[in-house]
Amino acid sequence: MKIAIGCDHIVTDIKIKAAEFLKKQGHEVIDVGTYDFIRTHYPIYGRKVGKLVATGEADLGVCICGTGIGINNAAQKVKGVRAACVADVQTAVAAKENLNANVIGCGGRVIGIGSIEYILEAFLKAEYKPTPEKDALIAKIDGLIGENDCIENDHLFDEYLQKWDEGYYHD
Amino acid sequence: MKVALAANTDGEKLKNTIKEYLKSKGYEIEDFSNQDIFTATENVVTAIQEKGITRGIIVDDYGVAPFMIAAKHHGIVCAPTYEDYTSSMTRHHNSTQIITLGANVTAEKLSCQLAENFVKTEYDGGRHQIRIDMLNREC
Repeated sequence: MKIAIGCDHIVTDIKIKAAEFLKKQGHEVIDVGTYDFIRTHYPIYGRKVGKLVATGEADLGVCICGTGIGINNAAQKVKGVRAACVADVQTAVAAKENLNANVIGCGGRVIGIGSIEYILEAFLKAEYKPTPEKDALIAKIDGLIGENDCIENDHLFDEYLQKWDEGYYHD
Repeated sequence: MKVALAANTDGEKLKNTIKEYLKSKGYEIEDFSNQDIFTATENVVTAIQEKGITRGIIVDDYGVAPFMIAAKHHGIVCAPTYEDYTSSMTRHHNSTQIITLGANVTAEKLSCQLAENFVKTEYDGGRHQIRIDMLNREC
C-alpha cells in the first residue's frame, strides 16, 4: 500500500522508526515531514497527510505528534478524512472495521515504538466490515465539511506563518 | 463550571459514573445523550458553539466516532483520551473543548480521573495559538 506519514518536531525520531517499519512490511511510504527537530506547527503536516489520503494519492495516512491530538485534528479537518487517534490495537481495528478510518494516529510521547508497530500492522491488515448502518454513519461524517479550499490551497497557512515570523504569537 | 456530557447506548453506563463523579467534585452537568452517536456528538458540539459551555465529554464504545464527528466542525478541537498525559496536555496545548472516552477501552475509575484532569486544566495560549488558528482555517 501507499502510506502518507507525518509528524511534528517533537516526535520526528519516532516517525522515522514508524516509516522504516512500514517500508520493511513492503509498503511505499510518502513522508510529508517534518524532517528534523526544529519548532514547527502540526497542522501543516496533518493537512498534508489528509490531503494525500483525501485525493487518493495515498491509500492510508499515519499522523504522530506529542499526544497525537493536534496533528490528527488537522487531518480530520480535511474533507474525506476519517482519522482515529489511538493507544491500543483493538481501538485501531475497530476504527477500520466500523468507520473505515483512513488515517491512524497516536501520541509519540504517549506510547512507544513497540505499540506503534503493533497498531500499524493491525490497522493495515484490518478491513472495513460494511453494514447499512455503518455506511450511513460514514456518509454523515463525510458530509459534515462542505466545499472549501483546504485541499487545493497550499498557501492556506501563509498568513499565520507570516504573523509568527513577525512575533505575533509569543508565550 | 458546567460540563456537557453525552453517550450513546454503548457509553451510557460509563457516562453516568463520570456524571456522578464530576457532580461530587462540584461541577454542573448537562446531559445530551442520545442512542445515536452522531446525534449525541452534534448535541455537545452545539452546546459548545451556542450555549456557552466550555467543556464536553462524549462516551461510546471506543471514542473514535465522536472524534471524527466533533473535529469536523469549525472551531472545535476534540481529543480521544485514554491516559493522564493527554487528558491535561490537550488542554494546555490544543485548547480542546471536547474529549471522547471509550467504554471498551478505559475503566471507570481512570475515566473519572481523565474527565477531571480535562475539565480543570486551562489552555496555555501563547505560541500554541498559531496552531489553533491554522486548524480553524482548515474548516
